[in-house]
Amino acid sequence: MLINRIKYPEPIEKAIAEIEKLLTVEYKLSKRSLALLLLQKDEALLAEIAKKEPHYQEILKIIDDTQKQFKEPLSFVIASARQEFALNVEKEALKEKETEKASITEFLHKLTVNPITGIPIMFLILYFGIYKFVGVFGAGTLVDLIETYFENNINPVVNQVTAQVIPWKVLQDLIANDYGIITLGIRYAVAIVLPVVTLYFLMFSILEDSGYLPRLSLLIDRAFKVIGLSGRAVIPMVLGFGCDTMATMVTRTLETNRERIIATLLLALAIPCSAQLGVILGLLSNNPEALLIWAGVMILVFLLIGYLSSQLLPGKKAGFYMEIPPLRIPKLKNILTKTFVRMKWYFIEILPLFILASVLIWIGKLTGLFDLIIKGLEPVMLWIGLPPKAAQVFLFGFFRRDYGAAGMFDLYQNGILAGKQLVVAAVTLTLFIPCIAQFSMMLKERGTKVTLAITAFILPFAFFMGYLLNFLLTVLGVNF
Amino acid sequence: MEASAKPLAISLYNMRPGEKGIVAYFNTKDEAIIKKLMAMGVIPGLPIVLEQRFPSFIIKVGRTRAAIDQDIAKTIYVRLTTGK
Repeated sequence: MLINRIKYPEPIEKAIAEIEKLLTVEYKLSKRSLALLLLQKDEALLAEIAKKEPHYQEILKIIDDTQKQFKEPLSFVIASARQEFALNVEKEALKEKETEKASITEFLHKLTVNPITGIPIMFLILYFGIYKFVGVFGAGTLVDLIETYFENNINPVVNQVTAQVIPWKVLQDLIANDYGIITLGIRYAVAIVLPVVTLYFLMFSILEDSGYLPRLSLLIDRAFKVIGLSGRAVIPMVLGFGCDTMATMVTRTLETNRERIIATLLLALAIPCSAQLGVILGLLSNNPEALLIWAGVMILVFLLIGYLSSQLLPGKKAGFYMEIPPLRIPKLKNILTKTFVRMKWYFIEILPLFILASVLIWIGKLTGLFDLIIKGLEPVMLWIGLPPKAAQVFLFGFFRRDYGAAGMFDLYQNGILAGKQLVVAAVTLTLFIPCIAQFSMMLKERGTKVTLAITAFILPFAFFMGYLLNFLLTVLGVNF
Repeated sequence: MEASAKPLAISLYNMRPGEKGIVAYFNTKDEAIIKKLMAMGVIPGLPIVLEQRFPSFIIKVGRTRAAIDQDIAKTIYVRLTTGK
């Protein structure tokens, strides 16, 4: 075998031979490979050996004694020997032209990583790729189109059929009508999640395939360090503007648990998803000042809470290192395959959550639990200067973030919300706990303890910020 | 390693963009960092070029290009070959 041709430094070869003799159980790998893995302190294998091998202690002693003969960690010594071998193979096999001409991709690379040109390029890509394409076209145009189709063609049929087949109103409501599994759960999944996520993954696959994402990470790393994240966290944060649920899922790619917690918190708190963003932009776009205040508060909260949590959370700060692949023109087939596979995988994971939301709404209405919560929320609404009617918007906002925003839209059109109330409501609702899908994803990815801690912080914080903003706007006499 | 007998190595953090050298050693006890650097192809004995310092350090080792932050740049020591 090829691997046997690598000659490691003498003490390592000796240790390999000794460990090989001590291994008694059969494994899938050769004993030489096992010995090498053990010398590199492979944790999974060490744990397995501890259970299976009678000579475990002796093996540990050999590793320890071998380590004493080197200044560097054994894994380093082993990798160096391999590197030397690889270099020799390369020298034999590869003929290379001496002069490497600066190609067009090199030029583009320089443009994208130089902060002077790179940062404007970054904003252009995020603006057109994410905001325009996914936000405006996907979350706006496409969602409207599919949702209107559902409301005009599918929901009436479902309602009618259910009414005829099921005699009990209670059960009808579970499947059809305003909050039914099909008329709400499936409709949301198909009409909102599907187009947004599809376009998002499409854009994301293009960026990924072109090799741009690592460049985005390296540009932003320093800024993100301030809020306790590394450049790596750019990807989930950018994804969050598409859908926070999927972004929460993607935080699993981050290095440290600390970084994953900070990213999850920021996603839940300050990053509005595209559906929510669409409605809020629509709502506030008549008042540029209101929009500015909303955006300013969000950015401030994002930075402040990120900074504070990075100061307070224990643990090692995240380091940043990333391979920078060459820029390439993405291949259509790659992009389509990736988009499709991710969509399918995401859809399967998210669909049950939407159905669950329908069932929970059904139970909540049936048992009167919702009325109770809404009654409880009403004084809070008055406290932050909103009409009591807004309570319902907040409760439903939990089941679907943009549903809350859409409810706000109704209140606005009926003239119940006006002026600064709109801004206060938009800010509170954006900060407010994420939708139920994201909440379940948090439970799944971060566990109950962290999720409850994050929720316990976000709930009062959102209302406190609403109160503070309302207070400030009133004191300063700002009106729209 | 015999590297330390040759001209003194300096930290990548103190190199200027465009300077070239040979990766000498990693000045860190953190085995996780060493493993990651080696996994990316940053391995002692290989030629290294510092391409950019800000906002992140960009290095080219062999044919691999990588971005690293200041803290990791401080752990990589390089024997300079040609300056600029």
